[in-house]
Order: sequence, then C-alpha cells, then structure tokens
Amino acid sequence: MQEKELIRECLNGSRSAQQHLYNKYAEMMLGTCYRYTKSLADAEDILQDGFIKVFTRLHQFKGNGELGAWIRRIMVNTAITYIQKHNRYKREMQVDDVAVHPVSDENPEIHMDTKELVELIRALPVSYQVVFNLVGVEGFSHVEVAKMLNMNENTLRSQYNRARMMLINKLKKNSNALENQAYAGRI
Amino acid sequence: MQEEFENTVRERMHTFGIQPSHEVWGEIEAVLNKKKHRRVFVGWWILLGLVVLGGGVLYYQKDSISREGLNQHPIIIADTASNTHIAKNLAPAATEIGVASPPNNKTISPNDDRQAQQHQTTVGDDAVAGRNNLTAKKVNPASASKTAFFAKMRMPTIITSGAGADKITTGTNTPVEPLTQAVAATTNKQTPTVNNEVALAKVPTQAAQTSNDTSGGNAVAIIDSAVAQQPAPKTFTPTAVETKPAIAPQKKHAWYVTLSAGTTRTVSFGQFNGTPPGNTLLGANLAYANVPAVTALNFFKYDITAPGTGFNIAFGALYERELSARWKISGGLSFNYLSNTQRVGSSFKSALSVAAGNLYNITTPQITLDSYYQPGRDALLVNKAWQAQLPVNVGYVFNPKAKTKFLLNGGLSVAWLFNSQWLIPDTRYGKLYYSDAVFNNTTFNWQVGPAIQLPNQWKFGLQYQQSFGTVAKNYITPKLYWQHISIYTAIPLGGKKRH
Repeated sequence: MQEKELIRECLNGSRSAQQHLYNKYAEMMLGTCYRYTKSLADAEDILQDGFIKVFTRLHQFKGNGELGAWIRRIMVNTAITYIQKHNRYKREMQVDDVAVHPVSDENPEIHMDTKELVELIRALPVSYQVVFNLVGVEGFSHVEVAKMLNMNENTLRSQYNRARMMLINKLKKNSNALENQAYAGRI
Repeated sequence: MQEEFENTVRERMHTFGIQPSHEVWGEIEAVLNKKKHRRVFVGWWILLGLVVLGGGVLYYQKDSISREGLNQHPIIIADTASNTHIAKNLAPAATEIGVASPPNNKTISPNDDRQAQQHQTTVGDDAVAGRNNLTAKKVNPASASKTAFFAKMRMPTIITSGAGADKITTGTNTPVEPLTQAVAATTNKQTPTVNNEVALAKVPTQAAQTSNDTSGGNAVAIIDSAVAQQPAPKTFTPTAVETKPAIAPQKKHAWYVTLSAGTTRTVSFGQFNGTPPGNTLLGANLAYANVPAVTALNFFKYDITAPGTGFNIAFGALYERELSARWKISGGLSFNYLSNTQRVGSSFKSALSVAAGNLYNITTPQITLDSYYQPGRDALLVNKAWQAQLPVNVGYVFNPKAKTKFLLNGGLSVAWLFNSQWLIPDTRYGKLYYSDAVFNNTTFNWQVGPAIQLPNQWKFGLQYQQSFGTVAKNYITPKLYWQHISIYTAIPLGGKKRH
C-alpha cells in the first residue's frame, strides 16, 4: 500500500491501516524515544502516547515533507513533554542559568557501534542528554530548543557545549580502553 | 568544525531502532477505541447538560414568577373561618381596652356577627363573610398609602379591622407596637382558633391624641403573613408579629426574542496529499480515474465545484441572566433556515442509472443513494435545511456601568437538522448525492461574537458560528464544516431587577 493511500485509509479510521503505519515506523521511533529516556519502559510509554497523537492529528499532516520526519517530530515533542512531566526527569532538568561556554572543536572518530553510542548518550545527565539529542542529533537550532525547553538561550548553549564535551570525553575513554585492551592482547 | 561530529552521530542515530513489545500496539488500539466511544459520550453529556440547563431555567422562571406575584399583590386576605373569629372578637377586645370604637360609638357585642362584619368591611364584605374555605382574596389597593405605610413597617400583608383602620393611613409615623398582652388578656377566651400566621398590633395614631372623634383613636390591625393558605394550628400564639420572610435580592434576568440573518456555507479546512483542496474541490475526477468504465462513460472532464455561499435566517427565544455586573449567561431555542447552492452536472435518478453508479466504485456500505449527480458545471442546485438549535452562551460586558454596553458573547450549541435536502460532495468517488444515511443530522457548534446593548435593552450583534462536526459522516471527504456569520437583534420581552 502506498503511503498516501495508507494515510487516507488511516484518516477514514481503518484500524488495519493504522496498524500498518505503526508497524512501518514503530521500530525507528522507539529508537528515537529510547535516546531521550533512561529506561525502555519509559521509551515505550512515549512511543504509545506519540502514536496516539499521530493517529488523532494525522489530518494536520500537509504532505509537504516526509511522513517519517513528521512522526519523529511528534515523538520528540512527546518525549519532551514526558520528561517535563515526570519528576524523575524533571528534577534533573532544572539547571542554573550559567552562561559559560566551554567550547570544544574536537571531532573524535567514533569507534563503536550505534547501540553503544546510544548508551553513551543515555548515560549523560538528563539535561545534557536531552539538549544533545535535540541540538546534536535532531538538528534543531539553539533558539528553537531554548524555546522548547523554556530555557535561556545562553544557558542552552552552555549546556550543549558541556554535553558535547562530556560525550567526547566518554568516547575518548572508551577508545583508550579499547586500545589498552588491544595492546594487552598483543602481549 | 563542530558539525562533523554531529553529522556522524546524526547519521548513526537515524538508523537506530528497537523493536517495541507487542503490548504497545494493543494499548494504542485500546486508547483509540476508547477515544471513539468518548467522542460519542461527550455528545450525550453536552446534550444532557443542555436539557438540565433548560429545565433549570424553566423551573427558576416558574419559581420567580410565583415570588414576583407575591411581591406585587399588596394585600392578601386569608378568608378563613379563623379570621372571622378574629373579626368577631376584636371589636369587643378593642372596646374593652378602650383603643378602638365603632364609628357609631356603639359597643359591639361579641355575639353580634353583623356588627362585627360592619367593622371588617373596610376591606370588603367577603373578607368576613364567614366562609370556611381558604380562598385568598386580593384587596383592592385603593388606599395605596396604607400599603406603603405597612411596607415601611416591614409588615408584609395586612388585614385591617375596625373602623379606625382607615385612620391608620393618616396616623402615619407612629411606631407599631405589639398588642399581644392586651389582646391576649382580653380575647384569649374568645379566640379559640386562629391562624398562627395572624398576629395583632396596636397602632396609636395622632388622630387619637388630637381628635375627640370617637371613631378615631387607636386602630387595630391584624397582620397576616403572605402565606395565608397554610394549615391553621389550633392555638393562638399571641407573641407572633411575623414579618415577611426576606427574599434575597435577585439578579437581573430577561427574555428576548431573537431574529438573525447572515451567510452560510460549508467549508473545508486543509487537505492532505492526493485529494483536491476542499475549498475548490477541483480535480475530483482523479478519484475515479482508475475505474475504466467511468472513464469510458465520460466524454469530457467533470469537476466538483465548491458549494456556494448561501444564507441563513433564524428566529428564536433567549433567556438571559446576570451572573455578575460583567458576566451573563444565556440559553434558548432558535429555528434556522439554511440554504446554499451547488453546481452539478447531469443527474442519475433511474434504477438503471443507480445501477450504473455502482460501477463508480461506491463500496462504502453506509451510503445508500436515491439519486446522485455527476459533478460538473451544468446546473445549479439549491440546498436547503431547517435547523432547531439550543445555544448556551456566556457574555462579558466591557463597560457594565455605561448605558450602552459592549459585550462579547461566546458559547456552544447543539443543532438538529430536519427536513433537509443537502447535496453531499464526495471526492472519493467524484459524486454529489443526497443520502440520509450519510448526512449528519445532529451537530455541535461553537459561536462567538460582539454585541451592543442599548439603554432600552435591545441588543444588536454579530455572530460567527462553526460546527465541530462535519456536514456528512466523518469518512466522507472533503470534510465540510458548517460556517455561519450572522447579524442578529434581541428584543427584550420582560424581566426586571428585583430587590
């Protein structure tokens, strides 16, 4: 079934079409949700809420861009709402307005598989995790993210640079450990 | 450059996925099913709310009319047997205590009914006619000043007795003293049965002090409560000088007749891929282009054109009540006539045509067609419908102290369409048809608009109204919504500020 037809059927309330759409995008979207949370259960909660929004707001999809990107945007928004709503995330999201910009231009190579990289991002403190996902992965501008998180723009920049540095340090540590492991193996 | 790192991460992340557990879809499906039911329930709840509101308004109105009635009738006499006893017994009592004398300066015997009646007849013979029924009699309020006097004294309704009663109005500003002790002392043997709503008061007058007229002097008044028809207890309670139960000040309320007229159209908002824009509905033939039989039948291209803008006229009744100086709530009933036009092509009404119409791939089981029209530009059909509507509005007054008020009204309404003949454009099959099965007879609407209220309470306003639901069932595309823009006038019928 073509995507346009699939959307039309979903809008007509066809449950099988909705399931088809879900099956097509659920895996990728759970990956997105997973990056924003600390547990798979939370990610599945977000996925569920997000798909309900998708089906109830599908008529708002104008067809200008890709449906996948539109659904991803809904998932990201749902994830942010979830984080701002639940205390275990909300507490850690409260950051001081420190507008210091530790800037790093390092671009280390990534010698690990995607799953490990995702786990490294998830290991960041919640505020860094969210900010890095929004700016670094989703590609939102600082201004957009500052609005989304109701944050000062300078604070956001500072948060992002810290998150980036922390992730790079973790990557370095990880690659050093790998090198040591390889060296030890040669002995 | 920072971007290199980000790009690498981004590429990796966009290929990352995790297979969700099977429960997730189950829960999504459950929520979607529940939402569908909830939509139906919300409709019923709104309807129930409107019915309750309407009932409440009617009940209140009925109640306020009865209260108003009590307020407006100055004097009500409970024409009971017990009052007759009072009439009989007061004259001697008054004589004994030397405060009231009959006009002819003749002592009245307690047993003399006729003479007792003569003293009672200041308010009408019937009042003391000795009837045993409990019919309330309205006194001709010829002596309005009497009423005003007792109103000042916080005496709700009064039966005057004795010849000195007329003097009460001239005696004016002297205070009313309970005559309980004296009357009890002189009449307790003679008043075996009185209404406990009845009490006695002595009204000393200036006339008594200044005039030698024996018919003047103090008058005796019998104060009765407004509710004279309550069952009478068997014993007399002399201490009860009862005042009218205070009715709390009521807010302003009013009934209006409303008349309105304006434009009506059915409008589609937005579109999605592959379908023609709802506002123009052009290119609808694409929807059936895949059916070879249809393509063969059509020798030229048909388009469904947008429904034209029509008109609405309405009349109704509206009840409005003040919640505060700035806020008002109103509800009512109105009947609207709606009409617009739709360009159509050739029509198919015969059984053969309908059978041919099946080739047009109409597979939706809910649609039953009596006739349908080819889309096109050949003719103009007129759609028409009647609508009964129950609106509930909340109004905000911007300048409550001004004589001419400016308001903003907004609210919800439920409407039933009946006797309607409305073409349903269906771009899925490129058709226009009448179908009761697909047409939505009940719609919920929201409305908003400014209004001006003149010092004479007439209102003039502008109202924008749009339906929440679609003209046809939800699965029909395009989704057309009702949209009305009207100007209206509300003509006040009655209602007042009561304190």
